[in-house]
Amino acid sequence: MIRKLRARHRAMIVLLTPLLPVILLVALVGRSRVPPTGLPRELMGQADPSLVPVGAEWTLLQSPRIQVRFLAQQGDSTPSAVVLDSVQQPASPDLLLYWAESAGDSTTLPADALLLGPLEAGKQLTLPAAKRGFLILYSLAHRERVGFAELSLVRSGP
Amino acid sequence: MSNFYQAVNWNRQKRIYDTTVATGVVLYLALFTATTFALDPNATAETTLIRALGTCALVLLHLILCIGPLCRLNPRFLPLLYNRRHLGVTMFILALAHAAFATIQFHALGDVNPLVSILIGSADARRVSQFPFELAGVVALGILFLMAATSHDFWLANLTAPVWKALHMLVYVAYGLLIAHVGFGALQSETDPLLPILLGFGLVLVLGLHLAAAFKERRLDGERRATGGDGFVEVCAVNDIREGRAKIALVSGERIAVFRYDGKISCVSNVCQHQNGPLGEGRIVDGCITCPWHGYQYQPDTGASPPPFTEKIPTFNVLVREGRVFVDPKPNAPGVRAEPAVIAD
Repeated sequence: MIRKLRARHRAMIVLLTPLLPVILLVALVGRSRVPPTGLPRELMGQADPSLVPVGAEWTLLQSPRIQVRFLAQQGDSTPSAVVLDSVQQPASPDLLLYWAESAGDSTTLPADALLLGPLEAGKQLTLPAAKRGFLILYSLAHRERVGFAELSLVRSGP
Repeated sequence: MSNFYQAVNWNRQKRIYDTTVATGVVLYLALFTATTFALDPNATAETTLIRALGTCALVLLHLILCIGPLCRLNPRFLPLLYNRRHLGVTMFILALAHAAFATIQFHALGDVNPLVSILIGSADARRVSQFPFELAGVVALGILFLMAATSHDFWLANLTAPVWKALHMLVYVAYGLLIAHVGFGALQSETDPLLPILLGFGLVLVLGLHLAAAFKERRLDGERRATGGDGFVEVCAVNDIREGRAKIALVSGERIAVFRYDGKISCVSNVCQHQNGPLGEGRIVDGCITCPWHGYQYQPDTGASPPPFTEKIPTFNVLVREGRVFVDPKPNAPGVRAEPAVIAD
């Protein structure tokens, strides 16, 4: 009886000997390449020092109260970045700011929504080149829109 | 060896063994944590703990898997095998702690049940980076639990050694699943080449030692023996066997152990009733055959353990002719006395 067990043991090892290195190799060869410089510049939150403020400070949302300034290139009136000047402690977790051509609905982000970055006071977020659009504050954990604002029309509430 | 069940039959060797294991585990966890924070001051305590526990369990699993073949290749490693089950239970506890902390860290903060989240978290097996590596870990943990839960001698005796051993052979399935768990999990985001190199080295070591031991065993099982007119099989010369030791041979498809002691020759099954250890690699201690794995003892002429123990193994009738040992390939029932052959001066 013990000999049968030994034979089964041997067969298992003979089977695993080619199989396990193949599993390890497939896992190593197939892994996604990580960008060598880490996150893209937009998500690193590196401020562009050449931008200047355009217009006055805006209240993006009343609740939670978020005040922003828009920045543009010298001599250009179209904002290319937004700075989160003041951010009241939000009630919802994992808040992210998106840019989209429409405001979407209360639970779903528009298909063209572009992630600008996390909601953090003092952070400078790069805006896309589009002339008009909406800034959407979205809670990833609750999967709900906390607020939105059109670039020239500031409102609060979903 | 004990004739009744108790949680742990402590003795000096077991205390030394377990103290060494516990000290090694604590040192490893401390060293891993200190090194991680020294190399990466931004590392979080939670992630470091999860990785320390996971790698410690993996290192222990490699050690456990290497002990068996090392003992087949060289008896000097036998002390490592003596309390291997405690090593296995320690490894399971570390793996369980790794799984529990990882579940809390990565799956308990959303609005989905954490256990459901593990099962649906990464569900695209077609993409390497999305392979459900957590599922492989869960199945491996289930196997390790089964093994840890049945590791006590109570289960060994009630399931019988062959069934128990077949069950515990699932450790190789668990090992394969854990290679997939680490390869498709941690290695997907790990850019440092050290971890894949160490894992590859461990894999080569485990498989290499098992293959070397398997080939050594196969040679022994492949030996052919001449049968005399009376049906007895010639095994070896008397002088091939050292006093108090045995010669192992394959007869009728199973291994036997021919012992020489006190001017006599006796033959028993090579398989210890406790955990199927190789009795022929043991020696005669206090007049009894003593298993090299856990010290179970049998009288060489009857194959019965000395009272009050009740273990019994089959015996074989044996003859000595012209300095050579012959064995009847038909075994006697376990515990039935076979007259020892006297070695002529």
